[in-house]
This record gives sequence, C-alpha cells and structure tokens, in this order.
Amino acid sequence: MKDSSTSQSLTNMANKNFYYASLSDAIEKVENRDEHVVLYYHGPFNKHIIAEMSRDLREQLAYPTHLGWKVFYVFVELVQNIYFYANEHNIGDKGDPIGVVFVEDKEGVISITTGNVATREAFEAVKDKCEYINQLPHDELRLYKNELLKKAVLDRYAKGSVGLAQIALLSQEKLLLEASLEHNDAFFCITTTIKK
Amino acid sequence: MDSLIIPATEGDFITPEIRFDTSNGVFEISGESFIENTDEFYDPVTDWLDEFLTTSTQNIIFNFKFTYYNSSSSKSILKIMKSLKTYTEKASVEVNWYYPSINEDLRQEGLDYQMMAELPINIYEFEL
Repeated sequence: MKDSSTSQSLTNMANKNFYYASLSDAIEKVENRDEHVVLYYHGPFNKHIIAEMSRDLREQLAYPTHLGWKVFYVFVELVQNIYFYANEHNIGDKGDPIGVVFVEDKEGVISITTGNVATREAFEAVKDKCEYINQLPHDELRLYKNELLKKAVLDRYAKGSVGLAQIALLSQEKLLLEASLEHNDAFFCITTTIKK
Repeated sequence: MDSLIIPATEGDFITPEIRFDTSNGVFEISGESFIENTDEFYDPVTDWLDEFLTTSTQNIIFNFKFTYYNSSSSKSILKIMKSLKTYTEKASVEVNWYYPSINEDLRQEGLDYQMMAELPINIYEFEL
C-alpha cells in the first residue's frame, strides 16, 4: 500500500508527463504554422511574468489602437485564467501554475491561445460555459455577461465567467476548445480570434 | 470628509487615478485598471465612497474615464454605480462615462452599466 506522499509524487509525475505530452502537441501546432507568432511562452505564470508579457505584447500591438486594445484584453483574461485555475505547478503543488500562451498574427485575424492542465471537473465546467456562450446570439451574450456581472457584485466569491463572455463579445467569434483527457486531468487549450 | 486622492501607479500592474474631491463635489476615476487583486485596490475606495454617500447630502458629479479595465475591475465599477444609484434618492448625481474615440466597445460598456445600475449616464467620447 502506498503512503500518501508516494501517491502524491506519482500523481505529480503522471501529471507532468501528461502536461509535457499535451504541451508538445500544442507547440507542434504553432511551429507548423507559417503565420507570424507575435508572442509565445510556456512555463510558470506569476504576476511578474504576466505583467512582463503584457508590456511586451502592448509594444508589439502598437497599443492603444482598437485592435491592440481588444487583443490585449483577451490576452489578459486568458492568461489570468491560467494563473488562477491551472492545476499543474512548477514546484510540486505549491509553485506557480504552468501553462502555455501564444499569439499569432494570421491573415485577417489575430489568434490568441492559452493551454493548461486542470482537473477534469474544472475542464468540464469551462467546456459547458464555452458551449453555452458559443450558442448565444450577440445581444443575448451581452445580456448574459451583464447578468453574470450583477451576480458577481452580489456575491464577491461567485466564480462567474464574465471574462469568457466578454472575450466572446469582443472577438465576435466562437471560443474554440481543444482538450486531451487522461484520468482525472485535462490539458485544454482555448483559442479565440479577433478580426483585423 | 477629506477628499480621497490616489495617484495612478504603474508597476507590475496598472492602477487608475482616484480623485474624489469633496471641496467641489467632482469625483473621477481615470486611466487603466489592470489589476491582479481588484478587491485589494478597490475595497478602500468603495469603503470611503460608501461612508461619504451615507453621511453626505452634497450634490456630486462622478466621472468614469477609463482607457482599459480587466473583467475583475468591472465588478468594482458596477458596485460604485449601484452605490451612486442609491445616493440619487437624497442628492443630485451627474454620472459621466468617457470613452476613447477609437474604442466603440468602451462606449457600449457605458450603456451596459446604465442598464445594469438603472442609473442615467451621460456618454461622451474623448481623444487619447
């Protein structure tokens, strides 16, 4: 019978293998594309790194044009999701959450993708939210976002999806979710595109 | 009450300028609100405002002049709007929402806040 620390370390090792296998797939997709990669990063996410990437992205986007503002907005919301919700860390269970982000300048659009490991349960929750958001017409999506915001004011601990709804509103495109599933873990990528 | 003045900051993240001037009744939040922990920044601001709105009957003008805020900041903005709505029961409140002329999405946000807070809001554009 394994003791709990052995079990935990085996779980961490399995998570890491799963993370890196899934990450390799995600990276390969970027490297096989001809489009210009504006920003690419994988590793730990903490507030200093997010701030530094944000500054770099703003410089590249000639912020504050409207397009630059929208890309920056979406980027921040997605990377903050990694920071708050990723279930894989660089030092056991206590370090910074790790994940991947890439911003690509494609023909006609800017594409932003983030990926991270989460529990299967958390992934299913995100999947349900994305599916719900994706089927809403624009006007109803705006009402939905406003309702989430009103709920968040009433309950400061409410875990809403204001950010995801706002991303969909700004991009006017569906949120694309791709996932690799293994046991109780999911490595999933969210991609959204913004028309130039 | 003394005025509440908090300068904008730019470190890892960016906080807006808070200028709640009780000497002339002009209150303004302006700039960027790119904040990791919004409660830590906004709680003292909303606490100050709630105390002012509870104890005062002064007519006020409230200007929102953002160039960017993240979704977690939007919760604090709505909270302030709702407090202002309550204050209209005992004093005159003029609420102005300024948006950058290049950014139609922020104009729409002002309209959304008007509906959510059930508060009349004047919408104006400004040049960056």
